[in-house]
Amino acid sequence: MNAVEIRGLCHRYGSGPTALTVLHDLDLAIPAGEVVLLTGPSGSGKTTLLTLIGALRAVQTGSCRVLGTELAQADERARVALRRRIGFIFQHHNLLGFLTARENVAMALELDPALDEAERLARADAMLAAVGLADKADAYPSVLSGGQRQRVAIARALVHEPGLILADEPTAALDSRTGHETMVLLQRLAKERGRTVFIVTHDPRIHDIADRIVAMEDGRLVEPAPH
Amino acid sequence: MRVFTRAELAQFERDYWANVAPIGFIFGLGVAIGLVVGCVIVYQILFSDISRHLGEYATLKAMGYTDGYLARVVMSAALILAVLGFLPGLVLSFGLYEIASAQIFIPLHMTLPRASFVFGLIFAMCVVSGLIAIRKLRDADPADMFR
Repeated sequence: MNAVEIRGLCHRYGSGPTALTVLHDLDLAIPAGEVVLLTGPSGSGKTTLLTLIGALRAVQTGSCRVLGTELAQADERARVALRRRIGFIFQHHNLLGFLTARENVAMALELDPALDEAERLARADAMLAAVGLADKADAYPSVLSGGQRQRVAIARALVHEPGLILADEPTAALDSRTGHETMVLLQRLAKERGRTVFIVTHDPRIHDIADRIVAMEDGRLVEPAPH
Repeated sequence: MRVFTRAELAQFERDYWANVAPIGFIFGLGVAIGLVVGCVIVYQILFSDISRHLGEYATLKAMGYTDGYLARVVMSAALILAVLGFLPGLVLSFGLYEIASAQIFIPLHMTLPRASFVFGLIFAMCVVSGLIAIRKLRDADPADMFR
């Protein structure tokens, strides 16, 4: 089973003679349970691809099937529903500054009406313990280090048991050692829980956590350069 | 010459001051302008608050929060502003009523219906401001979180 299945995906910005095609007839499959890395120079369309898979942008042409949902012709309602089944990790942790680590993680569960507040917080605590931050549950993001914040962000992305985790340059704001440790943690947790992870990154130091590396150039998938 | 009962006289005086004498008109105009200015101020507060937290709103949208949920957050903020604005206004009005009664010897009372009516106006004002401010939420584009 594939978590993501893309066939003939094209994407362009703008219209008319100034239109810029950023994705050319792309085919890609991400098998469930794998950790896949996407690399490539800036402007190669990596981020556009990520936003399309993440249902943050409407698919123009081609097919993009994510966790069984076809995104071509999907309306905003369907995209919002799909986003709830995806865990996002951003370049900058994007935690909410006025909430504690525990509350930030619980925000990912807020949308599940089956859980009451006590259960949400308990699950957030368990997830924070899994990323090694049990003692920081009551801390606000402003007092945490960059690596700790990104671990909270990982906890937030995993706590609602998403079928797919999408990360955009998750190590960009971290030093190399912290960045690597954080990604090893993400990989271990994803493997333990059988989650699929798709990471867009420039960072060659985290290539070792991937099951597979795909590279992009000028809107096309290419064979990754040997490393 | 007109002849009134006591109740009719009271009503006649009330109508005169409210509708005929310029003071009534000016007071009504003051209320209307107050509401418009209040509307603009509340809108400004909400608008700048949304602008400041656009990243957070976009993050929540990316996580699958619906526009309706975020709109409710903004409306809640508008209603909190309504209550927080009303309470000091009520206290100040009590004081003003006391002073005015003592100085001009016209009995003025803050009655529950009157206070409720004013709260209703403020509530409506904040709802209008909130509804206008919600349009700013459209600028929170979750796709902007990745770049």
